[in-house]
Amino acid sequence: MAATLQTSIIQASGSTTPNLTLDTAGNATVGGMVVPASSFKRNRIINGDMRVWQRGTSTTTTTSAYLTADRWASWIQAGSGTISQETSVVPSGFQYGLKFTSSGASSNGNFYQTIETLNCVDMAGQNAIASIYLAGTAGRTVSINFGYSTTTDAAFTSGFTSIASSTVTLTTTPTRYFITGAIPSNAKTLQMWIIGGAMNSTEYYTITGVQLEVGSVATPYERQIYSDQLAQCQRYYWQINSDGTYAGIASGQMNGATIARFTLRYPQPMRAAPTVSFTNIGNLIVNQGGADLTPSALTSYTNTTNLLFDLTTGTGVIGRGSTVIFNQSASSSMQASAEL
Amino acid sequence: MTYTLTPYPCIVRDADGANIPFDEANTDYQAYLAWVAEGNTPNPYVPPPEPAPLTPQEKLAAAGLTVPELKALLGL
Repeated sequence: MAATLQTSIIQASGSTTPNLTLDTAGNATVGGMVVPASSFKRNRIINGDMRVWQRGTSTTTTTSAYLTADRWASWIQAGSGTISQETSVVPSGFQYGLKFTSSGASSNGNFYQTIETLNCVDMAGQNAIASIYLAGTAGRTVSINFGYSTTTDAAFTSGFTSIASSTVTLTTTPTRYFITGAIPSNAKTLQMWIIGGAMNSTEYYTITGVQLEVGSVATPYERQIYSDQLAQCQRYYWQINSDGTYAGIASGQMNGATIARFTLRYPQPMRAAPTVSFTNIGNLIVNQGGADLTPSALTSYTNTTNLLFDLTTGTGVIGRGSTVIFNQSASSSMQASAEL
Repeated sequence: MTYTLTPYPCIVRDADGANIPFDEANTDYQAYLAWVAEGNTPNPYVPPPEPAPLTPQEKLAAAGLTVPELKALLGL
C-alpha cells in the first residue's frame, strides 16, 4: 500500500543535529555526507553517450580497430556495413549514438570498450551491472556482454572471459537494457562488448548511454561536462586535423640540413607512451625562414606527456627556426594513440 | 606487416609510417614484440642521404645577403 510520510527532519538516535532536513520547496539538506554504495564517478565506461569523435564519424572498415567514437573499437565481423554517428534514433536527453548499418546480407557489426586496470581493479570481487540503450531494426537481435581478463591492461583483442550476457530483440524505440554479474576477485581488466546479430542490407542498430557500475541496481546514466569527457578520452587518443587554415602544429628548428625537429606536449598525460603518426604527411608544410619545405617521414621520441619529433624534409638551413603547419588546401592530421 | 628501426627508441610501422615507442604498455609495441617472437626481423634503419653542399649563392641567400651588400660589408 502506498503511503506518504510527512516530516521535515530526520535525525539519527544519538545525533545532536538533523541528518536530513526537508523544506516545502522540495529541497533536502543533508547534515553530513551522502555516501552512495558506489562513488559519484560511478560509470567506468568512458564516452558512453558517444559525444567525443576525434577520429571521425563514419567508416566502412571491417577490421577490428578504433575508428570512430572515442574509446569504442568496432569490428564488422561478417559481411559489410557502416559504423557511424547516429543523431536521430537516440533516447531523450542524448545527442548521439553509435550505429552499425548493414550493407550486405547477413552482416554483423560489434562494439567493444576495454577498461584499464586503474579504473576497474576496485570492482574485482563485487557485483556489477551494465546498462545500455539499444534501438534498431525491429525483430533483429543484439547481444550485450561484459567480461574480464586477469591480465593488467589487456588489449581489446586479447580475449575476455564473459561474466554476463544477454540477447535482446530490438525495437525502433531506444530502450534501456541491463545485465548483471559478479566480477571475479582476480579480474584486472574489464571489457563491455555488443555483438550484433545477422542483419541484411539497410538493417541497423544503435547504442548509447552505456554504463558499467558497481552494484546490482542500475543508476541513471551519469552525465559529465563535455570537456571532462574529452579529457578522459584524450588519455587514450589525441588527434588534430587540418581545418582549411594554416593552423600551426609545433615550432622548432632545422636540426640538420634535411631534418626539422619539433617538440610538443600532449593535452593530457596518456595511458602509455603513444604511437604517433601523421595522415598525409606530405600535405604538411615546414616553414623555415620563409621558405616552405615538404616533409616526407617521421621519427620520434616520446613518453606519456611529451613528444620530440623529427620530420625529414627538403634541404633547409641548419639552426634556422621552423614551424610545422597544416596546409589550408590539403588535408592531413596528426594522431597519438595509447588505446588498449 | 613489416617494421623498420629508427635511431630513436621507437620503430616505424611501415604500413602507415606510425612511430611505435618502446613502451611495453603500448599495445602496438606488444604487437611488434609478438611479431618478432614469431621469427620476424625489422628492416634496418637507413639514414637519409647527405644533402648536396650549398653553393655560394645559396649560402648568401641563406644568410639573407645580396652580392652588393656583401661587397659593401667587405669594403670591395
